[in-house]
Amino acid sequence: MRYFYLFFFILISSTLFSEGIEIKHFKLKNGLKVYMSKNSSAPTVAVALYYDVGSRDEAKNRTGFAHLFEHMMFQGSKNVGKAEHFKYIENSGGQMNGTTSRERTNFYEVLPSNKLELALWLEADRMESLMVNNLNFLNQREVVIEEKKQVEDNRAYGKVYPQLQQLAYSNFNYSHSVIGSVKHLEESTVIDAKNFYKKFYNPNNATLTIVGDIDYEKTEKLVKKHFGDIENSGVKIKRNDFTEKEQKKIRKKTIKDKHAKVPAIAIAYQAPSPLDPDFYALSMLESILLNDNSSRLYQKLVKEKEYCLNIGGGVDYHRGPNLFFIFSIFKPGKLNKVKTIIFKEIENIKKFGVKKEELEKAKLKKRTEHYFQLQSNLNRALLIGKYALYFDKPELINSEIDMYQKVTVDDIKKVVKKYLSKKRLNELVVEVK
Amino acid sequence: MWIKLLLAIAILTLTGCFGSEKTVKKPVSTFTITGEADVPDRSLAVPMAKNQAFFLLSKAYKIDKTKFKYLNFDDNQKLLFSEEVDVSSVPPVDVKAQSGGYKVIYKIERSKKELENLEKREIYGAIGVGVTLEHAFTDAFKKVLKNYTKDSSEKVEGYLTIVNVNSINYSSKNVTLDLDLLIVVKDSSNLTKREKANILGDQAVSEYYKKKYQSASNFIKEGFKVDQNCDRCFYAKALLKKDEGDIQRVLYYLEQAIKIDPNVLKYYQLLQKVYYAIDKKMESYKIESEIMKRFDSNGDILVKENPPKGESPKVIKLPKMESLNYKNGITLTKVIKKDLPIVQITAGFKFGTALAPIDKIGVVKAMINMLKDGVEGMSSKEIAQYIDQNGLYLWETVSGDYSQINCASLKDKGDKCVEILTKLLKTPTFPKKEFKKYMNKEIRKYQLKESSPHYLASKLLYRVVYQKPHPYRYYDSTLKTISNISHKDIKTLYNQYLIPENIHFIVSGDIDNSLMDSLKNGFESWEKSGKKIENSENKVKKVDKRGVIYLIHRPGSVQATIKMGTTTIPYKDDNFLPLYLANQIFGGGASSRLFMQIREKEGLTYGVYSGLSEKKESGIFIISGDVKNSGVKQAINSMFNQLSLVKKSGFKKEELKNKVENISGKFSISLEKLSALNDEILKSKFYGIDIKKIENFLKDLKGVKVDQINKVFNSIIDQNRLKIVVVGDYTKILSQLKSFGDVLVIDSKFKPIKTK
Repeated sequence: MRYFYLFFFILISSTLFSEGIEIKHFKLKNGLKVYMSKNSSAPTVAVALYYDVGSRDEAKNRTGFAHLFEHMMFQGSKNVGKAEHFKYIENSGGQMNGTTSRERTNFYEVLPSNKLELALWLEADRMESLMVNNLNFLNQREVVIEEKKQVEDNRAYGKVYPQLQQLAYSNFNYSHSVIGSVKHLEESTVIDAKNFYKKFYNPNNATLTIVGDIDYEKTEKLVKKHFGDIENSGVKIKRNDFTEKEQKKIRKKTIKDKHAKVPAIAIAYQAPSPLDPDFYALSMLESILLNDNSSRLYQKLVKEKEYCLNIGGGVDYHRGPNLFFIFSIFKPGKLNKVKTIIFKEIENIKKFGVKKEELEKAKLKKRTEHYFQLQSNLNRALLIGKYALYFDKPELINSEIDMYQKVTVDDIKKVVKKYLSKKRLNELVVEVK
Repeated sequence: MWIKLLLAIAILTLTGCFGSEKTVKKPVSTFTITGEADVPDRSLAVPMAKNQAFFLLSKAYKIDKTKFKYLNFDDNQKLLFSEEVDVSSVPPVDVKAQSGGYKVIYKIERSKKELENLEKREIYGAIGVGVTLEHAFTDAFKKVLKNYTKDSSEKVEGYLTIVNVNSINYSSKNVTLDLDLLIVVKDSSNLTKREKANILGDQAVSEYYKKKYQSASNFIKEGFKVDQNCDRCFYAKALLKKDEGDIQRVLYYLEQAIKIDPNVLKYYQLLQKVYYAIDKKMESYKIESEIMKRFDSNGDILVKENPPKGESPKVIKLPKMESLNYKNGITLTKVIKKDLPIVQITAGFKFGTALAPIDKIGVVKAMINMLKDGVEGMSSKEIAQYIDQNGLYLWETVSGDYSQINCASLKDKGDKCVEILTKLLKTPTFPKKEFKKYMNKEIRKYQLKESSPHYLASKLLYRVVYQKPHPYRYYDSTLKTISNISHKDIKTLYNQYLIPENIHFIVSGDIDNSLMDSLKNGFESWEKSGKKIENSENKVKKVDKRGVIYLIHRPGSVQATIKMGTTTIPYKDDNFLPLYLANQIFGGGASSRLFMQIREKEGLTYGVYSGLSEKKESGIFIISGDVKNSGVKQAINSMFNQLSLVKKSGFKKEELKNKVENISGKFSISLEKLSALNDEILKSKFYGIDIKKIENFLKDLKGVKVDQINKVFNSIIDQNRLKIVVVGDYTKILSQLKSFGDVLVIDSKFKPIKTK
């Protein structure tokens, strides 16, 4: 058999879903890693292409460039005119987009399954021959600046997460926001874009995932047909420094938000990364402490005391350092009371741990979440792509849920003590201007 | 005064033969194209010659053009390419393509007729482009000279790019081009004497053209403007009718552009369009070959492949649906979909926010949301614990015409969903303490909502589009209507309307008999109310005029949020589907006309869309976008222009065909998720549409004609009947809005404010 069968029959719950998701894998000579998974529940297919480049790979004077470049990928290639990518996909009944995060850039298409080759052709075309020219570059630079205004500058609390990132990370590669600075965007040129493309947009820096109503052999042939001859540019990637120093001192900051009508608080602690068992134990606090209507802080702060309008948070999912964060919008004048309750509840867990039933609830929530997200082929493709790119472990789509299920009440007590300590605390208060 | 250019000769022969002599050789299955080009630089002549050579060859031998990718010259200007092809059915010929510098004349020795045609269209094509470019360029150039130099003859060089081809129209004698041009000025101290002479020469010639074509030059002056972001960039507009020209001059400018900016694609495309228009006796233009479209960033021609067509579409199978009734009036739809071990139960109620009295807007939402704040035997906290401990998702949706509460879970927790829904629907207690908390929270949330420009704009737009006393005009509650709601109102509303006769359940997913039995046990015994359900009709009055433009002042806004809207038709109307399709083409996604123009061409926004709401009575059509402060006028103009374009020329058959494909595909994607399935079924149920319509949806979609969508769109969407609301900092955008009519500046409470 040509394929590597990555996973068979991991039993998550014998009464529920006895077969895991099957994944088949092959690698092209040019280094492109390909993962396929069949799901014939609807006649659709999802294609996700992940490039190993994100905002952490940017130069210090070019923040926001990875995201700007994601826009450039829709500006035309050898056989596809400017913005024709949108048209080809939409006219075939599909959906598509691209997203950029700190650690990767992805592009995806969801289509009726008979249009699989179109998605592969489009992705291969822009991987091989993007048309980077000045006019398109200037146009998209403007669009991105407008995007930044829309998501950060022109709405209440839009700057909270970027500011929290800046506060909580000492390494510049993590502390700057994905959308970057307007100054850097304005200073960037089409030459930067061409160099960026040559450096990062190569088959040996990418992972392709295809999920849906497919035939494995035909799909493999199509992938080889369209991606097989794409050559790597040969430009070597020297990665930035991705290490983050352990925080040893509390950090606090207050910002004024001209659009906010009510104050807010954001709290963050440096947290472990996925695959570390501590990550999964800390994740359980999302349900126990924050997000569920029955969670401790929701009940106390929103329902009982009515100090807060909402509360939420969780652990980021990055392969590099992570943050466990809490965000809440509260009644004016209640800052100290809100903080006291949050920190007291954290101390309670350090001292007394959590109840078994609280943990069981959190585990069940994760299982339910897991199955609901598997409804869509796109989610499956994105998950497999992410696991493959980050950890070279696409099978985590089936097995990671077990890591949550293995968490014990002692684990939670241990990780809260270890990670949610005062010296690791970052506190950002948003005041109304 | 022109350089005599370079001779580029691409000689194409078969099977590795070189030379230009006519030879007829025995057909073979493999041949090599070779060529020579005596050119010192990459002028336009080179790629044109290469492309032409290839085009002729591919036509002559019916070669699968997708097999050809690049036709590159190597360092010695030798064109080398080889490909296996079956030529046995076509007599082989030699094709000589000559690129003569600026003139770019192709000589074809295959057919005299072809030669004549080619030369003719080449000349006319060049005329069309050349004079237009020249006028715009020269006029703009002179303004540049004024701004940047004292001595126009010494210091300036520039280049020009077509930013946008607005239109090309053909008559029996003229080609009319409407172009937006970008001129970038460079310091050109290294210009040769000859080049300087050329510039001077151009200016002199342009005076001649300006006199001859006065209207064109006036237009140019009006359209000319300075780019704020680039002190060396200028825009010009050119609109010109022309019937003669100078090929050399055209190509000079094109070459200048190539040297500085390889983005010559648009020139080339334009040239092609003109070529073919004339070739087809000016009746219509058609680009015959996709292969002649493109240059890569190095100036080499790329032969454009067609996208793969793919296999035939698979038949979309809807999950099995079954309708049931309980004796007490409850109706059900059962949808079996067993690919994942999950279920979703949706309880839909035949009433929505429109039911609320005008002074108590928000009461319906409050009643639905408070169902989970207490039931017999369980407090709000206990309900929350029950839901979370069983891993259930529970959420409510309240729209104008109907409401719903949904519970989704793993298959083995489906009975828990039924259990909690039974309690929420049948025995809510609405504790007074929880009522107070809910109201306090709603009041505080109101402050949060007000910080959103989209919330403010939508709220006001609904109010001005729907007229009193129609309930659709109340997009959301106000502080006053919230404070008018009493605890008694909630209970009264529940008792009156949340009755078995008003409920439709949809149970979907990996369901089995035991789940259906649980549901039956939970709800069939619920006593029928016997109440008569009111079905009052409340006709929507059409918007009759645009009226005043509303500007909601939001100090410090770095963008302006524009919304414009008007009334449409009910969801059940037979014209709704054609209108929906028309809207999708107009502004319904990233490939829509609005998006392409305002984001992709003008770069004014991150996103601009139009949408259509689905209502029992008339819905609303809205165009919406967040644009840069300095671009408000331009964006609104563009929105209007796009509407005018539909009015004038309508949507095209091809656009409709593509959109039908688009919606069909999305339909199959939507079948992946239980929530989408349940929502679609519920909507049909409550808008009185037979559930079989869902099954026939694809057939109905394909039956829509382009005349229908044009007629319905143009009869309903009229720019003079669009109400306009803008949210932004008035100090930055007010003057721009005044050009569209009277502007009323108001605060976030919609109270007029004085402007400076």
